[in-house]
Amino acid sequence: MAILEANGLTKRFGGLVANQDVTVKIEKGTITAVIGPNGAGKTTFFNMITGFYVPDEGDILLNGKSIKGLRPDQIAGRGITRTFQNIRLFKDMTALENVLVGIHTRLNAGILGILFNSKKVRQEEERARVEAYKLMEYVGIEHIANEKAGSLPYGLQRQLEIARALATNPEIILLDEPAAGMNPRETVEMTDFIRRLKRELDLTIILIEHDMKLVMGLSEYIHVLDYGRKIAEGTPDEIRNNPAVIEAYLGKSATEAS
Amino acid sequence: MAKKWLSSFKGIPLLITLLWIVGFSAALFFAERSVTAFIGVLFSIIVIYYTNSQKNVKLLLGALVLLVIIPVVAGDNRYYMEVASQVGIYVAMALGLNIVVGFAGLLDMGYVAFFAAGAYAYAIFATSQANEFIPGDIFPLSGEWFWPFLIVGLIVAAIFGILLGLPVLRVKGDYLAIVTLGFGEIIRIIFNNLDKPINITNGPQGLTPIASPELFGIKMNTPFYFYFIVLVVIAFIVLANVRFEHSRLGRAWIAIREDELAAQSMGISLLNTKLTAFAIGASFAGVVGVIFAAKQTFVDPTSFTLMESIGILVMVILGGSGSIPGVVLGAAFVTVLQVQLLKEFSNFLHQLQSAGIIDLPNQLDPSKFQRFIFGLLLILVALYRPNGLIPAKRKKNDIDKIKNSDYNKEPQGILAKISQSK
Amino acid sequence: MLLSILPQVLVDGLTLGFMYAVVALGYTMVYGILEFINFAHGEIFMVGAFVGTEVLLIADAMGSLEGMNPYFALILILVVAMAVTGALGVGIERVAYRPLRGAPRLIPLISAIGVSFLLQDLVRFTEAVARNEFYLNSPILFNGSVNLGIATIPQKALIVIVIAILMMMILSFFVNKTKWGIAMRAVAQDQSTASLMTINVDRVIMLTFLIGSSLGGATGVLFAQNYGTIDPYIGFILGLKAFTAAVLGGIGNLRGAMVGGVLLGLLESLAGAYMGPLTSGAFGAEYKDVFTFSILILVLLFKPEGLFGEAVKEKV
Repeated sequence: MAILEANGLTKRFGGLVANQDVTVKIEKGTITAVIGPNGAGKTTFFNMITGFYVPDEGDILLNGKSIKGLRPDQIAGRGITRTFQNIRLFKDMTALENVLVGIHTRLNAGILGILFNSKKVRQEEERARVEAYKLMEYVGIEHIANEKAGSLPYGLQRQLEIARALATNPEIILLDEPAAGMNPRETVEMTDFIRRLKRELDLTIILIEHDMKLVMGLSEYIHVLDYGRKIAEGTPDEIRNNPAVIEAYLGKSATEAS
Repeated sequence: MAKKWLSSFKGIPLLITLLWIVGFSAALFFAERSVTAFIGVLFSIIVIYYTNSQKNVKLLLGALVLLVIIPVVAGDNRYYMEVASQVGIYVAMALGLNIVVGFAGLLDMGYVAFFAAGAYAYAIFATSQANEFIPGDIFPLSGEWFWPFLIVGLIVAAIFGILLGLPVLRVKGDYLAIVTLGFGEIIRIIFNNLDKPINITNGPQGLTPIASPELFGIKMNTPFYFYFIVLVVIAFIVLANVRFEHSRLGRAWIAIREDELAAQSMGISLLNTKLTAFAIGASFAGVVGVIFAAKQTFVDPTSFTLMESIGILVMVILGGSGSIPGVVLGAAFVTVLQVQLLKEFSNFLHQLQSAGIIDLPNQLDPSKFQRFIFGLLLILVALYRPNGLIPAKRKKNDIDKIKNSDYNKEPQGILAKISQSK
Repeated sequence: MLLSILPQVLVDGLTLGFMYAVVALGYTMVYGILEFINFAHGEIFMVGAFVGTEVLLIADAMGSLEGMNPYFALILILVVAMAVTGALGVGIERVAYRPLRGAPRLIPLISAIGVSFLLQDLVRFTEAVARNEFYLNSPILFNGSVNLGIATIPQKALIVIVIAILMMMILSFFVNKTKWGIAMRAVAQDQSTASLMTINVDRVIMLTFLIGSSLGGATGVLFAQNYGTIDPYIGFILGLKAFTAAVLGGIGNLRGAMVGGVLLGLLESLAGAYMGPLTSGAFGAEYKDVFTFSILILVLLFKPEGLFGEAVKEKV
């Protein structure tokens, strides 16, 4: 059974139709890419899955149950997490604290417990810190644990954002242009890392990416959006040879995309 | 240049701090009503904060100044104790607002409403007012009831906070400032008019005489006692601020302040988290309101105007939004400025006037320049020091402690899946 | 009895409403372009009231008001007040807001709150030095009234309504038909694209403050002419209500601000007149501000885009 199903999602903003009847099925433990030219509605699609936009039509099923209409925090609580195209870290906090925020929902400290600094709260905090630090080790950024998130270089910020997303203990992670702004070497590292996430953590990964080399090399399945509609889906080989895709996307902007 | 100097600044040597404390205390002891000496003693708290020595030493010194030196040197002077307890009241309120504005980033311009809720909660029952709507002629309550009413005030204000917050906190961004301002005014108008249909607040006439606190038969009706009551409350509120700041809750507040969308995608519920900040901030104001009512022995709606809310906001912003030492400094500075410096200056001008040297129209009295000063401070801080006098800093975690923790043995969270699959 | 006062209540409401509408335009124009609540706009209105009244008082003291045509006098004080408040608005933007573009959202708002209080005290200070009092009684230029049978409309109220409508018409023409007006709308839609189209964004923002502030200042003059007494604090509450009107109509939307203003004025006037009798005296006119703020909160909760605004999507 598909872990995530989007059935006929439509989203309009005034006169603009950002997504029209988009249907996507995601199998558990796969890496899926959503591609398309600028303004094709990819991020809108992500925003509907994660609850930031409520679809005007259609339904979203997680493990067969509808999550349409839930708030973003409720959806995060059900195991779908994301990163953002324009990195959204908590800039004034340290990197470690950013990851700790990701653990938030799995902590239980209440007002009184915090106020009296009860033993339970102290233990819980210590455990959370260890978990956060280990996650940073896993991502390979533990050396910046005490740095202010806002002052980190770009590449580290992207990695930190992923560490923070992992901290929510997700089943599905949506990566919005994870390799944007990275140099070729960093891009290769990111590709390997995403594979590792799938292999070691059993994650289902959905990503938006413009770097065609990365998309074709990494993803097992690809959905193509154009002007808010889904125009094709298939394995990388199928997509590469799909005439509709070539016309709508690769044909027009093949130079830009590679 | 200045930055370089600041980064090499390791703190004030202990000796200088001690000299400072002794010097100003002696000056205060020997000089009659010396404003400079008194401010010097108050300022020694800041000097201690920046002193280059261990935390325990600093805490001890701070306690010494607050608990021993100030009461001993200035304790028999009603005026100083009055100023000191007023400073304390505003410090406590500013620390409460700091949770709302500083941590959670919610610009609340109606904070004084919660202060009013606490003050009226005590005032209504500690005067004969409650007889108006509760039969049995059992009011006013005696001063011993002051102590439980600290909790009552806390709870009443927290309930107010939740009731106001439920609609208000759904409102986005800067609208919140306007809406809270509106709500603050609504509460004041209601208190001002709730002498009918049932007389609950006695309307514009206000409530008096409010019973002074009593403990073991001692009537605590001088500023000297209130000074200590306020100190205890501040200690509690500071402790709460410190604990919250680095807790699960504090991190959620700051996450919301920094980026609401990202916070939501971490599973943080906006409304609940904001509501908690609002209720906790409100409850502190409620406690302080009870103390205020008991100290003044009189409350009426004019004590709870918009200017009070703005004043407290200025303290937080000026001192450093989200920074506990900053907010304490901001509150102390603004209060001393208002109740002491401006008054002194205006007395000075009045003397000149009665000596016939200058002609001072009533409207130019410096003590009336609250709005001008608040306005100017807000603009200057926004333009030149948006993080306040003492900017907030996040505490660094002790990495060695994390590495040596027993919890390292068992894998946590998502990483547990690795060991499972192996 | 209740019905017999209705025409009068409606006239009062319309007068008030048109003032709200013009002031609301100032909030809405700035918000449309900068997404920023110009908290000090109410004080600009207040300054306009003082400038206009001072010009009248000075003219009166010099004896030149006596033989002056009242229409000429009105136009004179409107022009002077608009010039001063327009310049003031531009100056405030330059000094207190522009350096903060790009700062966290709360910071410019705090600066604006500061400007608001600073202006209140500066006006009080100036008046105290000049006249030893901080409130002014304005000479009223039009004292007659027009009898319509069911209600008598004071001339001064008619003046308010006519001038407010005139100003709104001129503004509509400007925004829709002129080069600069179109530039303003372009900047409101998308600042970066507009600047790519060689629109000078700074200049457009300046113009927005110039127009919004001078409209606010002119309304101040109308207020003083209509109510007679002014003090430095009149702008604060009126500003809040005008802001409410802007939100009610849909912030960023000019037509919305106009309709919202008039609607709010009418509602408030009706509430002030009828709340007391309808609740048999329990909640009277003293609660009319509570009523207005409740409208603000209800609109923000249930229809945050207002009557005419479009639902905004948040940029994720």
